[in-house]
Amino acid sequence: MPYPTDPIILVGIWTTTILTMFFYSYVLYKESGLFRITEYTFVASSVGLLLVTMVKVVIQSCIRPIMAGAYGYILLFVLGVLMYLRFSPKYIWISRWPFAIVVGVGLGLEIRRALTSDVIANVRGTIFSMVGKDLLTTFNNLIITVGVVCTLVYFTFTKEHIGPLKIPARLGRWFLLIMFGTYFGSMAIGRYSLLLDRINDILRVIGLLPY
Amino acid sequence: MAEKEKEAQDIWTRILNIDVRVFYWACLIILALPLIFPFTLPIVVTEPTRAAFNTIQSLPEGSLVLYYMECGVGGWPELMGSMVASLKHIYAKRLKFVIVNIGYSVDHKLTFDRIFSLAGHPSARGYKYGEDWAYFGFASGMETAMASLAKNFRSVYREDDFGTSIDQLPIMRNVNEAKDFKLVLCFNTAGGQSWVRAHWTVANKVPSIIAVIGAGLAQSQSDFKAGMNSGFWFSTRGAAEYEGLLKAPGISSARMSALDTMQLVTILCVIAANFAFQMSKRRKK
Repeated sequence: MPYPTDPIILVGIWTTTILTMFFYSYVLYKESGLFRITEYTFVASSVGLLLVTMVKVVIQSCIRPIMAGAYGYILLFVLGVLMYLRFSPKYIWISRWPFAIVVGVGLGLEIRRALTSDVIANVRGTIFSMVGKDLLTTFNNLIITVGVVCTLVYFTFTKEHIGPLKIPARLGRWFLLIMFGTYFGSMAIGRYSLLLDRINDILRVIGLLPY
Repeated sequence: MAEKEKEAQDIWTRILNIDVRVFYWACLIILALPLIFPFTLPIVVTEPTRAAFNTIQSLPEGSLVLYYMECGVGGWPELMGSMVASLKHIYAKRLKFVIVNIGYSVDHKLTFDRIFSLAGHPSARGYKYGEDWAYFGFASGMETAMASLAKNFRSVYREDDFGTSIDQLPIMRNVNEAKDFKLVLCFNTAGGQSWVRAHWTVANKVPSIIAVIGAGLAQSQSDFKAGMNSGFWFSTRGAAEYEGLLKAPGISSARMSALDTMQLVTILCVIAANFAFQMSKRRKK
């Protein structure tokens, strides 16, 4: 792709580059006015975009169906508007109804999801699929199963971790530490990817890399 | 006082007291150098990436895929590679696809402009809008919407992102529930992975492939082991592996040498810091 010559695109890419540098001034130097300007600009533009998108969603998914004769949507629209009564100390109690519906639906879905996929499917995958296609897979599955059991023992607080529970509880702690290490490692890779993307863009804009 | 000065001179304590900003500057330089002076390191394809490739490869031509994106511009650095590579694979296999954005992807248009500029616009690949692909845009509702989509597509989207009624799109004829799709591709930075897993894969047995950011690796790995996804792309690394399988090096492959170098330096720093910590503790004793 050739280096852009369109003035609008040029202003865009240079603004992005400069704002990125302002952002990084926080970690590379110290908090400054430049960082704060960038931070506020980011928050403001994000909120603006979110607002516009949400208004569009309400028009598409609620107003248009009502205009087309689906009058059942009026109830949903009214429930949505009632949420804003949270800002009125006198009528705040009315806003609890739509929130109750949202929380109820969310809770129902969450319980179902947690049971079917987080618990049952994971237990099935962990315990009942121990024998793999080769010896290494079976060994890995065995480690996972032992890890799950030992970690559960570690979180058993109704019984002191002595006697037969001592070694599994200690092993459980080690499994947890290894997991935290993995989390840290994968998180670091993710963050480096973010940084790399910005560096890549900056280098392209200042001409050190082909655009 | 003399002891304090001696401690201050201790090399291990000095290592531990290095200003963190030195590390940040080092990160910048170490990541930038391999980009300016590129070199290639071998990329080993992991099992989840290969499984993802095989799943898409096994689909017959014309199969319908749900391309579900739940990430904003902030997810580009980690997910753009897999979004582009998977779309290239879709084009190569002549699969039909439907794009939905549920969750946090309010800036979906920016993202798809970018994806299409890197992978090619569907129309340039011989895809006809409405027949071979459709773009439904953003819908609010998060998990509720994703669950509803699996049961009744039309309860979430009555029209596409351009205002065309869903019933006027030939691709959506006789398509209204999860079972009408052969595969779900989920590009997520937050909760989308668990929504697809529960409401599409576990409940409706629709295979899914997930692209995850760094924080989602452990969850995706356990889901993969438990058969709750048919493979996943882990951040830039997963995308680079996929580009290798497709024999189409892209943005991720070009960045892997920088990432690998940075990871190596991080490991060395972690070892050095731990060693310094243990040594300084021993000295204090």
